[in-house]
Amino acid sequence: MKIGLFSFEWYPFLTKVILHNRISWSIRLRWIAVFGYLTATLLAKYSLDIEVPYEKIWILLGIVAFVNLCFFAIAKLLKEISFMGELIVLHIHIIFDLLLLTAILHYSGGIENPVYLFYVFHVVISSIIFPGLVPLAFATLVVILFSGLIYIEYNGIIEHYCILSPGLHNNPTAIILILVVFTITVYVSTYICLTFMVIYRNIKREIDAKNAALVEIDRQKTNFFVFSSHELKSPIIAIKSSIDGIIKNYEGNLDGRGMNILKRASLRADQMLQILKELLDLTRNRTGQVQRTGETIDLNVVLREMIRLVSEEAKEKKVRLVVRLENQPALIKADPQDFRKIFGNLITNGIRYSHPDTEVHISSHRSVDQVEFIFEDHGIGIPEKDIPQIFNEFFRSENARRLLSFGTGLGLSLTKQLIENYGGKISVSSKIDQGSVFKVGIPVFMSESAGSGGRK
Amino acid sequence: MKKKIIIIDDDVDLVEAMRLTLENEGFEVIDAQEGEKGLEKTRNEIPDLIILDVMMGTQDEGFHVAYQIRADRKTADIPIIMLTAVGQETGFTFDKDRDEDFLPVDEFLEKPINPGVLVELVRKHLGQ
Repeated sequence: MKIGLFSFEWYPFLTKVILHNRISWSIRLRWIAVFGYLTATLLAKYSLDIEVPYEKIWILLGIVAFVNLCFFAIAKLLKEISFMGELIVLHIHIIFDLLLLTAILHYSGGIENPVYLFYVFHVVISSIIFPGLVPLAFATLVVILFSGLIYIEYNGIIEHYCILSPGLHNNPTAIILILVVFTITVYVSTYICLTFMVIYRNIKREIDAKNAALVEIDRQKTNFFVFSSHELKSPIIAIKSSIDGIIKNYEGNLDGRGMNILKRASLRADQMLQILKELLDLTRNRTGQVQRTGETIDLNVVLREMIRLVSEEAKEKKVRLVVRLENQPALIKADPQDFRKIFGNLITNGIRYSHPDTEVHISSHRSVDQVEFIFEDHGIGIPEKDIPQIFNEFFRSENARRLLSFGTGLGLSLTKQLIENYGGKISVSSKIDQGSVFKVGIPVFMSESAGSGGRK
Repeated sequence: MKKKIIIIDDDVDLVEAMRLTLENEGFEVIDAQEGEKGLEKTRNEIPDLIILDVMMGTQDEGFHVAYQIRADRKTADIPIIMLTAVGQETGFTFDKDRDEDFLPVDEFLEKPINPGVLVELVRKHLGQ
């Protein structure tokens, strides 16, 4: 397929959004340029005593300001402009800038005013935005405009406004020197920018391709999880139901040893179902298939409810739950079931991996639009090398496996996924044999009192 | 007289496991592996209770069967216990209190089935 200069394929690194942002950015820069130049001319006029036609410069600045206002309006009003449209607008911006800069330069002293260095900005910007020959064309346009201006001022075709004395405009050596250095500067800047941008675009293309491949692999993994969980579930359900049927109905006919083995088989089937259930939960949350009920709930209420539910387990393990929650409600639109899973997982983890006769601290801190829950246990902790993997599916650290043979390695994955579904974050810090701290930040509804001493 | 229970479920092993428990408890058990057959047997035999799997051929075949049982005056009053594993599988959670307007069953029982719970529920709906 032939790729035309104005086809999208020619600009694989650009998107409409990026172009639109660049346009807004150039509009802002132009405002700064106008006001900067205006200030500079005012300074020149009233303190440096330089004689140039200030009125004309100001009129030109006025034109720039007006056109920039038009650009601004166009960018604001035409939200749905096409990719090519944005691209053409950008070309117009740059050409307009170059022409106006040349005109202003003419009235500001021509070759004598180093403001001609500003041309370099434009070639740099166009080299960043456009690939291939376009920036070279702009570089050439810049050289033609500048040398053309110098030439006609030199020849006296148009008037030259001197700001230096003696002036440079009729000094051929100065003109040739400046033009040669200027031309080299413009082309070399363009070349350097273009080379760099080629490297940058190649890297970006590579990253994008790899990223797309990763997303695809993740999708396949999710699909595989869903498929295998469904397929595995029915047989396990049948196995478990059969074993339980035998345990119940043949209680007297089997010796204790056989019975024991069957009971353990039943537990293992339970374990497998639990894995499948959590796997499905996880993939469902990852693929966003969950329908949110959207009721407003108070996270503190859900957390208290979960604490009550696990208090028995804590007592058995001789772990004391120390709860310090802020009184202010933490309201969020959410499915309470999700937060029961999140809190349930974190608290039971805390209890299960605690040393006996220790405390698990549960606290909350409220800011204006966020609540942070902290779950701190004093237990076996997580080995430092395992911390980066702790939220990965099926990962369980060695010491956790040693302490508890059961556990699916999916709980924290699911917890993290759920938290992220609500725009929240979870982090962990841990010291081996001293304990772990899990921090969960969740965005909640703003409250007026939170910012002004609502903390309790 | 023995109370008669029909199990409509396409998983033969699951049916056998339930049959074992229910027959040991002194119930007569008949079964059907698919919805149509189940409906036919229900109409012919008029059991005292129906255990119905929600997901047989399709996601909700069990519901269609339940509607037809309720629609037929001869079978409309037979209690139905619906077996689900759906609560975990499609993201739907069945809640009898919330959905009873359009869910024509008396009870949901999630698989895998605990035999003790099964017997308890069966007795409850048979008024024993």
